Amino acid sequence: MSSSSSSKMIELRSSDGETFHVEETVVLQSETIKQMIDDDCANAAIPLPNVTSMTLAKVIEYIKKHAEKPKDDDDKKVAEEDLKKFDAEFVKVDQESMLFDLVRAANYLNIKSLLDLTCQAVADSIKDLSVEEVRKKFNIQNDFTPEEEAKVRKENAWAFD
Amino acid sequence: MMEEVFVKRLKEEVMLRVEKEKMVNYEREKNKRRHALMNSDHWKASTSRISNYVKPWTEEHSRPNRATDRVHLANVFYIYLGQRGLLRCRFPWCKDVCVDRRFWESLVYLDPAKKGWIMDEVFMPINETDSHWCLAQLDLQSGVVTFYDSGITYDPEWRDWYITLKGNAPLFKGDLVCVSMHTQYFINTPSFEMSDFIPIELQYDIINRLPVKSILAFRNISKHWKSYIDSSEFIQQYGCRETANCSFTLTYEQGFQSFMRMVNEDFQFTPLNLNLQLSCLSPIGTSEAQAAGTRFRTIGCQEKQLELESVQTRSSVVLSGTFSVGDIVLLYGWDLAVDGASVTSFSMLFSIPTTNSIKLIEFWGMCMEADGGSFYIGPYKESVILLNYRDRSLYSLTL
Repeated sequence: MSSSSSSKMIELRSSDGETFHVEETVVLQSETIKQMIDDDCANAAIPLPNVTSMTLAKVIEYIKKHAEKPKDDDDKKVAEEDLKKFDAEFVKVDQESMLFDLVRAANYLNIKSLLDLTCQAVADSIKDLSVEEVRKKFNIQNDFTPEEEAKVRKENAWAFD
Repeated sequence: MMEEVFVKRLKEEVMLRVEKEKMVNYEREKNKRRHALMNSDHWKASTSRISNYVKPWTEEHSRPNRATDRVHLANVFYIYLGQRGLLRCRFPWCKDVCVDRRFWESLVYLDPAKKGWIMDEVFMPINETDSHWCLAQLDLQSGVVTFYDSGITYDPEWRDWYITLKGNAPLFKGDLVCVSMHTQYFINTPSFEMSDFIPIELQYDIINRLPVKSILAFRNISKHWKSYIDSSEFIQQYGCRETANCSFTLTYEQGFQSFMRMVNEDFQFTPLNLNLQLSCLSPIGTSEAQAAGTRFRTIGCQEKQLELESVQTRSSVVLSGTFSVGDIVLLYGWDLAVDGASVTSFSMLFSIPTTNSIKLIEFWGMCMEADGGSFYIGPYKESVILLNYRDRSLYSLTL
């Protein structure tokens, strides 16, 4: 990555005040930051008031990996495989809240590939859960009356067998 | 001549001044009388009598952490404010007022140069349409909302505006505002831990990635989820795929000629020997459909019974029918490309096992080439049909 050493560095500041220096070429994967740079709002550190330093570090790890460009076609195949492996490992986070934080950060920073990856990971993690477990996970209040809930349950009774 | 004009002007001026003085005197008189009235025993007696039965009522909405210089914000609010653009928003209780980003930033004290509105009081005149005015006073520092009403008060309150306002009260509590970017409306939701919260439009994104079986089970999660899953946008986005494995014949007549086609397991359309007479088959059931000037007749073979109905789309004819195998009813849909008066191709769109017989009313947003056709049942919405993109199966649910 010798070519990018000349690239401009962008300073990002997380919600808890930590600053991160990232190359402009890498950070442009975030549509939100790209827009800020285009609007000339990025002379000082860019404040990201809703991304914690832990989440931001993870996001930077992701965009750095995805910014790597393979040299030739042979390399490309290897790199693709490698990236797939990296993505699969990336969403294997210890805490569930971390995954949710990543979803939110990807959404806020508008990094589509990361949003796809993390949303799919959340979907995979909830697909076999019960309704009650999903509610708990998303902190969704059950706003059905018992009668309404019974009715909905009856409508998709066959989905539960 | 000039003098005459001048004198006339002067007279006019004097007249105006006298008029003005009269007005001022009149106003002064009126004020004096008002003060006299308010100081009179009569006034005091009557107001004290009113206040005996008209009392302002108050409600406690104080901040959970008792902070007076800081607003506790849910993460969703930061995400909301982090958006680009103007952030035009309306309040659910007031559809004609639109506020922009500056409003939110001042409201939540994010701009330290300006003091924000947190130390202020907000007065909200409330009008019961065409009949009565009253006032709500919101003290931002304490979060207490006080209602002033000169009319009759009720216990419990039932008036619409009161219920709406009370329903939206947590907005002022600083406790939680769930912003739906989708609708650009504020939706009042019960409080939850901010770390676990995923904005509603991201929840929608996640729903889109679930297998059909989970989606149907998760209709039970909340009204939000149910209405999203049942929406036509969702069904369209989710797409559909064809599946099936059964065979039957399709016969149709054009003019005086009869044609017969065999439909194999992959729903390929193959012509049968034209010498074969219809009478050679012993159909269990037949049904007829009229489409694009062509008369279709289907004949079930084996134990399968077929009924056809035709629904027309722009370029092709869509037929649907129910089909019973033992106790199970299957809903089928086929697409027939009609060129002039002859059928050029025939393809299976879907087959759905159902417990009760459903009827396809309309095709909407058909696109055969892409996802095999997304569809939606309407306008009477007897059923919603979900077609699984990933595990190649179809499901339906009756509303």
